[in-house]
Amino acid sequence: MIVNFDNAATTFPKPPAVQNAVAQAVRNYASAGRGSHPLAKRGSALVYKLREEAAAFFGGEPEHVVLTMNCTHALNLAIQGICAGGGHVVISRLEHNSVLRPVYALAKAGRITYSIADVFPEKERTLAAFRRLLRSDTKAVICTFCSNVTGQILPWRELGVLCQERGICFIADGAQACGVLDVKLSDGINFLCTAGHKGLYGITGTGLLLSDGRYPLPPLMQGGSGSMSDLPEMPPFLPDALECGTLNIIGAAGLSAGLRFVQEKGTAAILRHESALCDALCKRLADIPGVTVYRSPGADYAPIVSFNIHGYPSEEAAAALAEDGFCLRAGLHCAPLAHRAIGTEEGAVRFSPSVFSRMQDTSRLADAIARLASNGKNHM
Amino acid sequence: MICRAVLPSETYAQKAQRVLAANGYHSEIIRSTSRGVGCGYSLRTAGDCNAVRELLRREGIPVQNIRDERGMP
Repeated sequence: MIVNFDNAATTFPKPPAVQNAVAQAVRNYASAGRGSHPLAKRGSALVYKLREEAAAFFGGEPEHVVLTMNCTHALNLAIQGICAGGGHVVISRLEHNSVLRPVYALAKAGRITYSIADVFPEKERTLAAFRRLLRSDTKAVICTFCSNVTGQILPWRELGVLCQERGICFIADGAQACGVLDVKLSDGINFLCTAGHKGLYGITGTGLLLSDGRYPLPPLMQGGSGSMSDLPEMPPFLPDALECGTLNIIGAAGLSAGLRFVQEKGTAAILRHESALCDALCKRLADIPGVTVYRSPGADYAPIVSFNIHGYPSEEAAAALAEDGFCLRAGLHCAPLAHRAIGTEEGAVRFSPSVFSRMQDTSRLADAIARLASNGKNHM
Repeated sequence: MICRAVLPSETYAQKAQRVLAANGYHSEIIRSTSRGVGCGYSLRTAGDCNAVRELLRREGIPVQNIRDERGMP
């Protein structure tokens, strides 16, 4: 039996409603915004419904909801767009490569400079670290709501207030937060970027970029938008300005169903469930000699736990756990900055439950970790 | 009276349709193609154009053109 504890990568399994919506969409839908015949109208209505649902869920207007391929695509749109005119940006020490790489590429090309803010268990210290790095030419603060490695939650609301006070754009990476934390555009966020296939329980190939409408973005790609087609440029208004080519209708159907699922369950209830599993695992691991858990007292955490077993490189530990049917991701999790911050430059094993994860499986996982740890000193 | 409002995108046409429906107006989205602009969207509504224009303006929906089907603004 396979148990997925790698939901931070992609949630699996998906709710039955999402599976059904995707199956139905394959059977009944074609494209959207490409004609006025019944098939096209049906697709268009589905896509608009998703925009409405996302706008209601996160705050904002439906026309400011841009459908993307994933969170990385959304972040690249926002980061490359805001940085088009140059300037300075601040990111956190816990950022995923979907933030670090576009920022680094822009800096390497000589178009921007950037600073990295330290993150501390105490919110006030983290906020002060960001504040110290802000300059007169700071264009944007770009940071995650919570780390995909440790789960540590950053003080996003306070950062939103700080950015608003200074007239700085706030681009937030919601990949791990959306669906478990109560994040809203009105938290001072100008661009909320998220994946559709993680905590929102949609399928892979989906993501969202929500804008508060304050900062226009140039497109990353140009192509057909189904509007103002006689013009050689992309339309100047959202969402058309940033969406070209045929939209992922099947993905949109799944994401729409996923959003409704999360709405019905409630993010608070989902967070409680998943956090209980993380707390239970941490409690068990604390009693296992040779296991290190990367959590600091005083910090707040989303439901993600990273750990290492002495005597096992993280990939070997994850492979051994996989033989027992447990799917956990090891290595750097595409977030080398975060691993450097916690001293795990050679990686760690990450536990990330979903709303479908069970306490009994978490307990069995802890048993498996304990077995590995007891063999650890003989393993190296 | 039938009013035709031209909107820049399908998304705005859908939003406008929702707004009008919430205010008791039935409407139909019609695609059109015009020289110089290309693909666009009209909302065909049973109602007074002045009222429709004001309703859409209040909701921040950009209207490129609005006139009754006889061609009067």
